[in-house]
Amino acid sequence: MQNANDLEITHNESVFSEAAGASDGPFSVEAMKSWLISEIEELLSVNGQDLALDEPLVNYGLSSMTGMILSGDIETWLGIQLDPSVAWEYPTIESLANYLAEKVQNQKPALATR
Amino acid sequence: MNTIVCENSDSSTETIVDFPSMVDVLRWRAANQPDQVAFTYLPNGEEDETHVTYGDLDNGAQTIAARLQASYPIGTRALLLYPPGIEFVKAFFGCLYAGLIAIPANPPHPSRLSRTLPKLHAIALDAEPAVVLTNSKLLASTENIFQECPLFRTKQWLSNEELTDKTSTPWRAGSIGKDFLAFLQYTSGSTAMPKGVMVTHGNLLHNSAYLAHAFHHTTETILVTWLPTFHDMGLIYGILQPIYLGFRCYAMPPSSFIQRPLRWLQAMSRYKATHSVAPNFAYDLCSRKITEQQRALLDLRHWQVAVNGAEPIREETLSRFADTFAPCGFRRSTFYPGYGLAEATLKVSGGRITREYVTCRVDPAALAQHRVVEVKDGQDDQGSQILVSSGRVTHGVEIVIVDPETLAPCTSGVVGEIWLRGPSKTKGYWNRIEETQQTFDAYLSNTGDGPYLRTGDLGFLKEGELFVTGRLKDLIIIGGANYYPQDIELTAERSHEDLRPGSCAAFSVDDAGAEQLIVAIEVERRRRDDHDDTTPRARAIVMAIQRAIAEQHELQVHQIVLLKAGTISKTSSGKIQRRLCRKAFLASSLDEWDG
Repeated sequence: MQNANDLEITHNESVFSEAAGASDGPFSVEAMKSWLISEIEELLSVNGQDLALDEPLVNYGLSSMTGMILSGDIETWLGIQLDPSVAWEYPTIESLANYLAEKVQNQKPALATR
Repeated sequence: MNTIVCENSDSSTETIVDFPSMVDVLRWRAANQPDQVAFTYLPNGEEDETHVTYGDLDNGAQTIAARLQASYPIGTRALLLYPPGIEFVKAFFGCLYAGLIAIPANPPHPSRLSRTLPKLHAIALDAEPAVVLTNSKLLASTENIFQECPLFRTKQWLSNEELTDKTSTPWRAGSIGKDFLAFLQYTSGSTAMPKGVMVTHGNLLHNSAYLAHAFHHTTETILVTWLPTFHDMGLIYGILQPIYLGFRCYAMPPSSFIQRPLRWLQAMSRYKATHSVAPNFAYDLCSRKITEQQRALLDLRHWQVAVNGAEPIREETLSRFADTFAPCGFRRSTFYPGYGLAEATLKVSGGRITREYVTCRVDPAALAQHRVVEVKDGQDDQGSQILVSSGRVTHGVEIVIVDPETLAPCTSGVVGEIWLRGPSKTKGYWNRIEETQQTFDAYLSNTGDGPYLRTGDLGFLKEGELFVTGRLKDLIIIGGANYYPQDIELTAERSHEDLRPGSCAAFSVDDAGAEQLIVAIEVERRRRDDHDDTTPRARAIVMAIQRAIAEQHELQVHQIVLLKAGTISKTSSGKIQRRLCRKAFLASSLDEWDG
């Protein structure tokens, strides 16, 4: 599966080249929040307007399975590795978006040296 | 029945061995193929493989058993709390080697103790284990567990590191026979009353032989599994079967698969795997999540048997998966729908290798009346329902379709309860004489034939094929997990002060090919001095129910219906009639609360 890994790396690079140097760009905290809201709307069949940023996602019906699916979807979107239980460590949209934005920032230099 | 053909290490001769217990199976492997890799673990579903040989497993089991023998008499229960991995396999066999009864269970999640501990607490009360075996990581965080659940403070907790302390005296092999209990499987029963299925070595050996025969396993088989190992399917198929036959198994944690379903099929492709097993939802998840670009890199031509079991099997799932992955070399005939339950060890019935799965097109209205009315091809098939056969029973397993009221066999074309007997029928529920008698000692009313196991599942036989159509009891199965409606109802009723105790029905309905949870619940009549608007009040109640069910059961409620007080269907003795509520829900005839 060497090829599949190559594919993922290519994906990573394209994401990070877009994000490079743009703190208010597509991978800012605000962008993370709005992406998470639309993702959660679909995943949990809820209306985005009903979602409070500081409310634990489990209160909207996030299960252990949908939590893991969410972590995988974020991985695919951002091209980063996440713990499957990330949505429990960072249980609200607010905390999760902050964590992700920071993680993307920290991974940029590492990827740039590839 | 329990003899197996074992290929010797030089591949030239075959030996037929009659094993008295699973202990002897691993001992035989270790003696004859000590350096052969038994399992390869992929901790994150991708790289970082770790390998373990039969020699390693036997050594690990012996040192753990030696330590356990020093402290605990035969028959002591040991609770096993491990994430999937080699440590669990060693500890499980360590228990078997020492004659302890293993209780594999889902380890509590540190940040979700309030949800994961009640079930574990109930199991500990029921089985009274003297010792808890776990890994060093969980052992380091026991203080939180003790605070939430003081009962666990009274148990001895040991990690594999402590168990493999070589200072104890060497392991002494005992004589463990077929009737000896190997483990308790707690997949049945509500949280309030968990039921531990007593599985003997004889049950395991019979079901292992059955699986080996039915799935055409050989020493050349390559299995990939991500199933949880504290459940019968992951344990008996994912761990015991590879050891039983000496074939190679690649395993990853369930979370790796759920997070990125691609990892399962990537492993199938990378290792040229021939066999795998998963519940229905997993095949759907793959069809949904794996992109065309990713599919282009998958080679599924080696896949011979794709078992679909542990939850209702849907034809649209099989068709969609077969179509989606046909370009990767996946063949429709690879699908192997099966049926089984913990009370019968694992496997009860299954399809036939190399043949396409059998389906039956029926009239759903007649099926609701427990009658099988076939809709022939070409006939008006707009409203018809396609059922997938769960295959046939062989290997000494016998099933009868029985009228659950009269306890007499059903005539052909009628749906009834599936009863079975055979060497895989387990010993009953731990410490529950009455429930064991009700479930495991059933006799046919017309001939007095028995004793049979009452599965609680409904189905019919057609030309030897078993079609499973539903549950006799109101069990809810979502995402491969069983939920008891009474647990969910209790949570809902307690979530808001305006809800009435004992007036809630939780049930599932099929929505776009997936089981979805519905909660119908009565709301107290409005108090006179209450001038709140109805809409915000209803919204607050719905939110409270949703939140409580999510927190306690990690389940998402698809729809919550608030009912007028006193309108929910109950029996004369006050029991909730979930089936009638479900019917009324589907007909949109529930009496909804309007403030």
